[in-house]
Amino acid sequence: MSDRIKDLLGEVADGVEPGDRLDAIRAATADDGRRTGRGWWAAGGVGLIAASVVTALALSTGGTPQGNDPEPAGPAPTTPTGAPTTITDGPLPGDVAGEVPVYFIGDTPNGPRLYREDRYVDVGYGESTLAGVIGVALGRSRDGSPRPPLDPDYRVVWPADTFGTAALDKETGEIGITVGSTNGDSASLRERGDLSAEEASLAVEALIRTAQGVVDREAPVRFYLDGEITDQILGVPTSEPLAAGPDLDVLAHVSLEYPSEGRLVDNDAPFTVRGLGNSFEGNIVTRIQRWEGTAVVAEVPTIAGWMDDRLFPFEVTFDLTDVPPGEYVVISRTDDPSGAGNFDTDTRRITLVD
Amino acid sequence: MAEHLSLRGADADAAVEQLYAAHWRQLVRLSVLLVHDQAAAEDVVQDAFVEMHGRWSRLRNPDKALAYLRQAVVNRSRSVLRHRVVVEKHARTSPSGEGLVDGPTVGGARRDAVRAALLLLSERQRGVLVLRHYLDWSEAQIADALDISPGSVKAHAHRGSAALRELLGDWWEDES
Repeated sequence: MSDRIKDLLGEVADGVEPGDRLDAIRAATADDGRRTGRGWWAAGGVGLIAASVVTALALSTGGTPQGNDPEPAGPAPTTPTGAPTTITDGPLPGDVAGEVPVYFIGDTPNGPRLYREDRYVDVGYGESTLAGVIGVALGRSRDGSPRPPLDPDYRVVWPADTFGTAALDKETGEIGITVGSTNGDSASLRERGDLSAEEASLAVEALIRTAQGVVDREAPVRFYLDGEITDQILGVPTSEPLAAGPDLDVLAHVSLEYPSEGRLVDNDAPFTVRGLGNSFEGNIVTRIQRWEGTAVVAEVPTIAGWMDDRLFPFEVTFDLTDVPPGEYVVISRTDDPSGAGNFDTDTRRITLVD
Repeated sequence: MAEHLSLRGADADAAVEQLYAAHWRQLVRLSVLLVHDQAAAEDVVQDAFVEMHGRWSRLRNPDKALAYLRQAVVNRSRSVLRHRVVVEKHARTSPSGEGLVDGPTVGGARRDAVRAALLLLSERQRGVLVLRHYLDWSEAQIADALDISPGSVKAHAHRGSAALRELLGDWWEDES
């Protein structure tokens, strides 16, 4: 009898496939030393300590910046559910939780811009990645608790009590994003409040790009306020479906894809930094320096593409065999031909282990 | 990762990463058996990890981290049950049905039947059965964890098993 209960409980337990909460745990346990990338960079330059460079590889062909992502878990081609509502999105059994690019606001010398972070999306059974990812972009977990960007340099500017979800209208190919406020005053989301016009526009853009990243880069995005079409959200006109803005106007000109913030890195293995960038003559420099102080461990230039209105992938590999374990920061920056030091930078804190 | 996880000398971040990789799934499953709500179970285990991280430097024996986590998960799952109202509130704010019981499943009807039957047991009976049979805890451990006497553990185990058997009927015998 005892074995029978064990088997039956085991069977129930095995049917549970937990979502990923590692980055929520990391975020909740991270010490909140907030420093800006530019500050790090300006303070650096003391000289190389160790480490040699294995390769600096520029990938000058790669389609659109997002084009070579591992295929995110987008809506699977399953039987249509025929739900009669405007936004139709039935259960998608093939639609598993996974890492998808999510856009957050960070600062550049030219003002706020969007950065991307690959994030896990917790998805309940029958809930699509598309539905769940909007919450991540709004800085909320599935239960409504705060789930900020992993990188402390990034932020969400939507009011704290905003919730949202999205679905694909299979007939029109439009993505519908609905936002609302848990405080019952969703109408307040029509106005941009204390946000600058630029931040408000980027806040909307972040949701557009995040949703498109799951479905289709070109899909038009229609916004709803509590399920209703509205003339504006955060002061941004939303009567018509929206497209994403030009990359170079809305994205930071360098954005790291790997490593993610707080990652453990084994110093025995080649360490490859990947990102997207667009810089004068394609020059992007990536540096690894100690978290404490300014000692630079390694610095590698690379050439990415630049003659186009988009970001180009780049990749740099470091040999960190001789670098002692500890806390480091990876910084990639664009070039500034004016000499004024106005680079876009993106940074990631890493922990090097033996 | 080493088969036997040794966390001596690891800092709190590294310990969390390793324990997460090794035990997250099993701990969430444990909590789901107790609270019957996957999102709530994930919250419970996430909080247990965060709590352990905060106390890491004061844990005397890092190799007991898993035991600590299990205990934290059991305690927190019990809190969830005591404050079910919180869970109900959660269910209302969730965008779609994410409870364990809904939806077709690979394991088919028997698994659904077992889930449904577990829900019909009392919280104590269910807790005792899960800790006894899923975690292989001793009666003394269970008594400690659930704050009841060893005699009660025995009684709940007996009644719970009998009830489960009756509720499951043919499913109980079906060995397929």
